[in-house]
Amino acid sequence: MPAVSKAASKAAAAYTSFLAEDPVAGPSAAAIKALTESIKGSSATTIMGLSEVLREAGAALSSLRDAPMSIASLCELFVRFITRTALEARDFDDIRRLLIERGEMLARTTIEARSKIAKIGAPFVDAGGVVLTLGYSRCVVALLLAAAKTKHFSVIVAESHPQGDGHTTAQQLAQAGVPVTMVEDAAVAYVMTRCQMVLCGAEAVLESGGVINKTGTYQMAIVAHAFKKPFYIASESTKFARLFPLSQNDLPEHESAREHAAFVGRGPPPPPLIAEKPSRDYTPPNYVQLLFTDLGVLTPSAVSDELIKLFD
Amino acid sequence: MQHDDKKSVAKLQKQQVAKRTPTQKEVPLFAHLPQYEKDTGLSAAAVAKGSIHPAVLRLGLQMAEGIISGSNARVVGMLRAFQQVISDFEPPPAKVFSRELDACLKLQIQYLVDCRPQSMAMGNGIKWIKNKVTVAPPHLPDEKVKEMLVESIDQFIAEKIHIADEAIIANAMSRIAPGDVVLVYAASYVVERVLLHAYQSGVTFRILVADAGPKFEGRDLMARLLAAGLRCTYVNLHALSYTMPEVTKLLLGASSMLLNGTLVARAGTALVCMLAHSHGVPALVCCETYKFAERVLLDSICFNELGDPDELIPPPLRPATGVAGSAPATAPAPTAPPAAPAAGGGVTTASAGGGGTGSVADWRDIPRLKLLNLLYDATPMKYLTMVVTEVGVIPPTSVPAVIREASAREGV
Amino acid sequence: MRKQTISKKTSGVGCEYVGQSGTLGRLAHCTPIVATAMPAPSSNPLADLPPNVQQEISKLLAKLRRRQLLNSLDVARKTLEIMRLLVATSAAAQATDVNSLIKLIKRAGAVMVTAQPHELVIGNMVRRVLAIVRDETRDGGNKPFKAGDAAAASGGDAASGGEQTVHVAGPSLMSLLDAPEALDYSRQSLKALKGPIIEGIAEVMEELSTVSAHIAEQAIQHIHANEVVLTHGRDPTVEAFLKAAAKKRNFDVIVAETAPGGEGQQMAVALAEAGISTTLIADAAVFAVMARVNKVIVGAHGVMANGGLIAAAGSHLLALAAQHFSVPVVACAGLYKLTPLFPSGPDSFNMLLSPQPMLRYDEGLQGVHVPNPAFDYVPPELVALLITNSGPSHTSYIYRLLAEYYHPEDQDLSEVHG
Repeated sequence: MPAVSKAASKAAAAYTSFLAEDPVAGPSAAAIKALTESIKGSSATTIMGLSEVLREAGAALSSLRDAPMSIASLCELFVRFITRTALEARDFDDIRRLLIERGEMLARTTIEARSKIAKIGAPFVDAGGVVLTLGYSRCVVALLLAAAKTKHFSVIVAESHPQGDGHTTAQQLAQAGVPVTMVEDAAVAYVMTRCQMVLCGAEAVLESGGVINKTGTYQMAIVAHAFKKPFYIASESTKFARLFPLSQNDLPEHESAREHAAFVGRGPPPPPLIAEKPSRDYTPPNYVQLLFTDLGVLTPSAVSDELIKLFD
Repeated sequence: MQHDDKKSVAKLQKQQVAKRTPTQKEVPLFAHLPQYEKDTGLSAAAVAKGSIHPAVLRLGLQMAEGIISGSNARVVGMLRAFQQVISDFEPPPAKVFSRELDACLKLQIQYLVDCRPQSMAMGNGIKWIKNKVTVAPPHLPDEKVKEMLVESIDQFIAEKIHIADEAIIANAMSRIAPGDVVLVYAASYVVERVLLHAYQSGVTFRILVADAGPKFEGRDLMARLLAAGLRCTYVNLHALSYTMPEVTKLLLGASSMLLNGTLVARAGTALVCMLAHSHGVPALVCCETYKFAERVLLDSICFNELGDPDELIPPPLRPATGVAGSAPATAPAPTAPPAAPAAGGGVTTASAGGGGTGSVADWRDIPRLKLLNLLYDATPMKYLTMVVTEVGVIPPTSVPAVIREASAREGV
Repeated sequence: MRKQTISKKTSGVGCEYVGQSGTLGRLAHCTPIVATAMPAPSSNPLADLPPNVQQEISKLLAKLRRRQLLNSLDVARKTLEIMRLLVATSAAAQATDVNSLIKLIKRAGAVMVTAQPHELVIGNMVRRVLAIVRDETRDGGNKPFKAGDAAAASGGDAASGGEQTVHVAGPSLMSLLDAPEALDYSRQSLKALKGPIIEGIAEVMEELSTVSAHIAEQAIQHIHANEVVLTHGRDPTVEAFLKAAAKKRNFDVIVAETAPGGEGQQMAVALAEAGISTTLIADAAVFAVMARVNKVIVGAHGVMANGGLIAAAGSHLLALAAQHFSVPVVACAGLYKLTPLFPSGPDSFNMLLSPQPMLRYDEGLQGVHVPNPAFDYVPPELVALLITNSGPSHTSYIYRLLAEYYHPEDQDLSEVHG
């Protein structure tokens, strides 16, 4: 029905504008704000109606390119909250008001989540050690900057060609006085013996305890495992997603807008050559030692526990 | 080795020159291997028989006491003793020289084995000398044959051991880089010389000496290294996991290397290699090619040597000359091997502690307790990175190739 | 490399001790010679505590320093006694509300833990008591606190009502949208809660006394007939475990002598005298015999939050050898050894002891570094099963046990809110 889809598209538009407005806060915060907005703007009068609105907004956001994969669990969080507060026999307006209030609070705390993560993850960086990372993750940078306040250590960044997110990480760390070495993605195995630990961010943390992140993360995790170096993930809990892929082929479809690294400056691939450009890969939980989240330091099995509690 | 087969055991006992007492408490897991009490009077029976050469008598006792230990030392000792046996050998008239010499050597070898089971390298040496004796040209006069054999032994020792060692040292030294932290285990003659040469040539590196009981051979190695001016860290096996992160290379000696790339060396070597492997530390084995044996081992149980179980008892409590259970203040230096024990087999010590729970020193009195002193272990090939030999540096998978080459050349 | 000079009593002439090369930060976990980072640098950090509590703490720390008290169970018990005394006499320290009590407990705990960082049970017991305090406060002192209730209460509505509907130990995905923890401990009076708190502590002490028995009674499920079990050291829990199994089953035990302390030798004698067929081997022979071993059973000094073990030095070698031969490693440890802290390699919570057992000073060897760590770190992937007094569990389940017994705000004892 037209009214519903209008609301859904409004949600999508809200997300894009929130994201543009405050890129530092990140896509999760923008998504939360967008969901809250959709509640504010809805004309539902029942609990079921509210839940429907949320679900539709969530679906609309998920269909956006480059939307965070945790939209579904964020929606679920909101729906759960509605159900729980409804059990306390409050009236509808009360619930709605509370939901909006809490949604705005959550958007704020998501930003604080990063400093929490930095605080609990910083002690794991050894003084005099070398940290290896890939691309750019706000949580990772926050963690390393927090650790740099009290210890001397150095960082090796894998560039993540061709977008070169690694350069952003390198710049931010160098500004804070942390010695940074930039290496090509292919040199990860070569430098791994020097490293004391590997730290990456995540686009989504999954029910299995594994993570989905930019292509190259799985490779780095395998190399770290072969060299017996610990592989850590830093991520906010709002990125927990209820997915359980069995292999790389099980990941949700995602077409990335970036260039194909193998064809930079070479024009389009000539037939019969096929060019594959996976934007994300899945790292299974047995390669992840610990996850630093705002819920605390979690083992991969604890992550699935949290998700089970949420969805069951 | 079939010590669990009654017939074989009976046959062996008839052949034995020095009678050995089977141990009171046999460990069932190693029933197929000889398990003896520490016997005194090993030479008595041999002297009585009169057929053992004094040089061999002496060598046998030295090996039994542990005064001569280590593959190279034992092989060289054995061959030198055989040189004397050959020189002094007077065959009965009108008998074939080589056959008589062969029988004589067999007796000497039996005595040595009775004193202490032969190592695999010794086995190779024995095979070699026997072959030389058999192929000695029959038309030559006896004196000439003796001369030839003595010279062959000199050549073998020079070529296969001394010159080989020089080559190994040169090859291994080049692998030690400035700033390296080198870990060694127990004591190996070749490894010690590699370290000394590297130090003398001015390379700056650190040494960790890993060691374990009951023999604590690493202590002597370390004393010699310190005397030469090197700085060492002494790491007992329990502290190895703590110190392993700093190690960059592992340097090992060998008792033997086998057809399936397995390293046979002092017990504890497998643990050290395994830990090094888990930390990404390459393991270099320094081994002369004469030690390569044409056999395989999957584990350390099929073939091993069982030492004196009393060595597991801490020195202050050991049944040495009447100081059982005495206070540690008067304990003998831990490096000294137990001197001729007053108790031969089966004599228990008066437990100074007495009363309720016994102590390990009374293990013979405690019915369900057995002590097991293993001397060797077999390190699987996957934990070894490189074997340094006189023919060059080879991966452990190439060991059988070298063995086949060698036997093809020797025509053995 | 940084050198630690330990007092003349333990070091002696001619030997230096050097910690792990490089990383200064790691050394912070080794036994510090001077207690670091006290909250009140100029005065006695224990000054706020009742005097008899201060005395007991000093006595305990002195005993630990002199290594007169080595059994973790005894240390745990002593710590609980001190905590009980503190709660009972908290009025003497002007603590009338729960928040002040929490601060006092944390202060006492922080001092003890800083003085003996490797003695993990101290921190564990302090955190248990804090969890009891928090839970009794939340429950309004109505019903006696039982550890298992925390798990049962989560996921449902607790009696307290208001906007706090669900009680889980700490932040959880489900409670992200809930109002922040509204429980203000400084508003809660201590008077009515003292009794239940002390009762709760007594229950934990009761639990301590049954730890060995509860672990031992599980033995028969894990050891089958004619097995060959490998162990080392002399952990009383493991000894009781093996003896209990031996009453019903026939099996062989191989004990590694555990140099330099030789605890393995004592264990071998004890087991043999209990009628178990035992073989004593040197530590170096562990790999050699592992080919014929069915199970490795070890004790632990502490179980870390990631499921890794802090165990007797030599345990890591044992576990690696077991992994090579695909032999399962079973760790027996009471729940009181469970720690919410994470390790960072072999230096964590370790203690470097005197080199005396390995090289005597009169042997005349100069300039030799002789590390003698008391413990090894065994990573969780090498441990197949953890047997505690509440049953067996996989190392990946530790986080759940931690959430049941400890509160995340007590993770850092030196951090006090409000």
